Amino acid sequence: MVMLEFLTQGFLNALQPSVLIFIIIGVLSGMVIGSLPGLTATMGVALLLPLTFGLEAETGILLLIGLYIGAIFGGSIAAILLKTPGTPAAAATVLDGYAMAQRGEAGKALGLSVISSFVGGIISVILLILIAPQLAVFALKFSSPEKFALAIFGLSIISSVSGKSVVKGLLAGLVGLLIGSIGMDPMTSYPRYTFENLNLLSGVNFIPVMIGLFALSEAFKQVEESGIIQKNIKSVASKGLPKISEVIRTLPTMIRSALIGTFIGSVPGAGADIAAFIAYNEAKRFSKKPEEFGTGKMEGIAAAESGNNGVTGGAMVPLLTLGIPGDAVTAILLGALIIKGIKPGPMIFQTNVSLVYTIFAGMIVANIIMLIAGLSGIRLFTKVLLVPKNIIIPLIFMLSVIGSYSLNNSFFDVIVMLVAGIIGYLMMKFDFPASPVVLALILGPMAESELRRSLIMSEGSYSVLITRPISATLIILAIITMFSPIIKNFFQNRKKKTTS
Amino acid sequence: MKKIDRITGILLIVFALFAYYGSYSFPELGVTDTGPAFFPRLVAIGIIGLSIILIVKSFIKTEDEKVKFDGYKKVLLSVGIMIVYLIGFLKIGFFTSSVFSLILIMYVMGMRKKTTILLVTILSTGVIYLIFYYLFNVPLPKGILI
Repeated sequence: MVMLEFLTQGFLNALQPSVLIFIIIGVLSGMVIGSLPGLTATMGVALLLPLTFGLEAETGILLLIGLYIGAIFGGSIAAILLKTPGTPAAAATVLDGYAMAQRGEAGKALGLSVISSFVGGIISVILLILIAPQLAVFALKFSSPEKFALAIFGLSIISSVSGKSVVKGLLAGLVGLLIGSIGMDPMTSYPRYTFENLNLLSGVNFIPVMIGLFALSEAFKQVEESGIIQKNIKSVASKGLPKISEVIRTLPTMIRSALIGTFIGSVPGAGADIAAFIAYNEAKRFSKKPEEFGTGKMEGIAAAESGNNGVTGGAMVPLLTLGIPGDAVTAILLGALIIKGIKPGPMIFQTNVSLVYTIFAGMIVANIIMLIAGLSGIRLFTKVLLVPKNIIIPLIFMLSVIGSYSLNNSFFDVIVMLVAGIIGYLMMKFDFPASPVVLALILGPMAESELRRSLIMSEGSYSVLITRPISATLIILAIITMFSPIIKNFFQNRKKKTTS
Repeated sequence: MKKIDRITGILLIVFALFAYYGSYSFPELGVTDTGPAFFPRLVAIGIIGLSIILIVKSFIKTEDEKVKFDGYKKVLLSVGIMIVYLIGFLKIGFFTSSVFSLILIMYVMGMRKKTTILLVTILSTGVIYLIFYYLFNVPLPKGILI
């Protein structure tokens, strides 16, 4: 029972006032950011990242994780009251949440959303604690060919996170790979595409790129839409919280959705928005009265909210055990850890055990804080929706600038951020997804250096990649993941053509 | 969207060709290592291939959705403000340039209440400045002013 000892120590660390206060700040600001449509969890984490530079590693990372957890729940507030999801993850919550609010049961819907988010979050953290150490032991055996295969598997996810067009998603990924190759070559240190610019020698830093792609570009979009009148919020007239019997009745749905969310979160690439919809559909399938979904059914909210918060624990699995980010938020968390000199991956469970278990414990604490804050202060959080956008959005411009500057006190990073912001805005307009760029920027250099290390190991023979069982399995998995959306699209199109 | 797809396709091909051409100056290396040029070339070929698919698809597709650009003037204005902001950030200093840029962006976004604008900009910029300067010891650029 070494694990329990580690976990106890983790709780002692996470509950220290100096750490706890930052978890509370993280969760509360996450709830505020999440509840504002247009501000997403990714944007919040990217913008608050600079705040962690001055903090201890565990405090900083827990601030960001708390924000992540709070924001994924916070998205449901606007979903229920405004029919506009505060974050993409809350899109499925709109279906039944808004219908309940229109019946005058907004308070009940919000309460249920908090409880479901809590159940989803807690179950996913427990699974994380149980699975991650085992997976890390397994991953310790990985050598260069396996790490290469892992990076390729991570990259293959791009085709399934591409949204409308797989071709555009892959193109975004490839451009990310090319940008990732800027700087000193990993093996020979030959400067590639640096144009004699010293700032480019160590490559393009992906954090300013992320701030640009996920925060500034969104701010430009909000400026563009600023003429449109905002919807008025429905007052939370009913004070009623869900009854205990109602919570118990929806508990099976919550637990099932939490498991789905954790699983989807742990698969690199698929995020909270997808998890919420799958959990929602499964709940509908399991229900005896599926026709009631969409008309303000409690199970609908329970499934969506438990499912999307289930992702929070799941997404930490590949990040901590393999060092590959599962989505855009964990990509920033990866950056936050690297800045602190900590390299996530299987070794972290040996070299930084205390940090890992403090993160585990802190995530449980964060979920509890979210539950308390959500149940007691939900009326206060709905007031956030009254703050006009033309006050909040301009602040994002300033936070993007200061965030990218404070990273290295480098003005060059600020310019990179602005360029990424403009490109990100155009990409959004032209249906090019942004997350493939970031995944490629992180996984590309990893893939290249591990491939070349493998080839040196095998004296130039590519067979090393497929003769080793784990790397062969991962490569096959990568090929399947890469092509399944393309094949699916092809058959769907053919079906459409034959029926029409 | 079709037209945009064609233009981005062509731009990406040009971009990839430049990258491919640029890789010729990279040193070629021994037997076991693929060398610095291998990976970028592979990626460049991939970009060219997919861009061609993108362009071809734009000709096959029958339906077309329009890209709305209703508020483009505001976006251009805010990009302009950002560029001036960054120059001011270096030359004049963080505080002053931030306050002025925030006021401008709020105005572009349709905010007209003068007291609110002034209060929000000065308070938020001040708080951020103090947090970064005193709490995190980030030396924010000081120009002529602060």
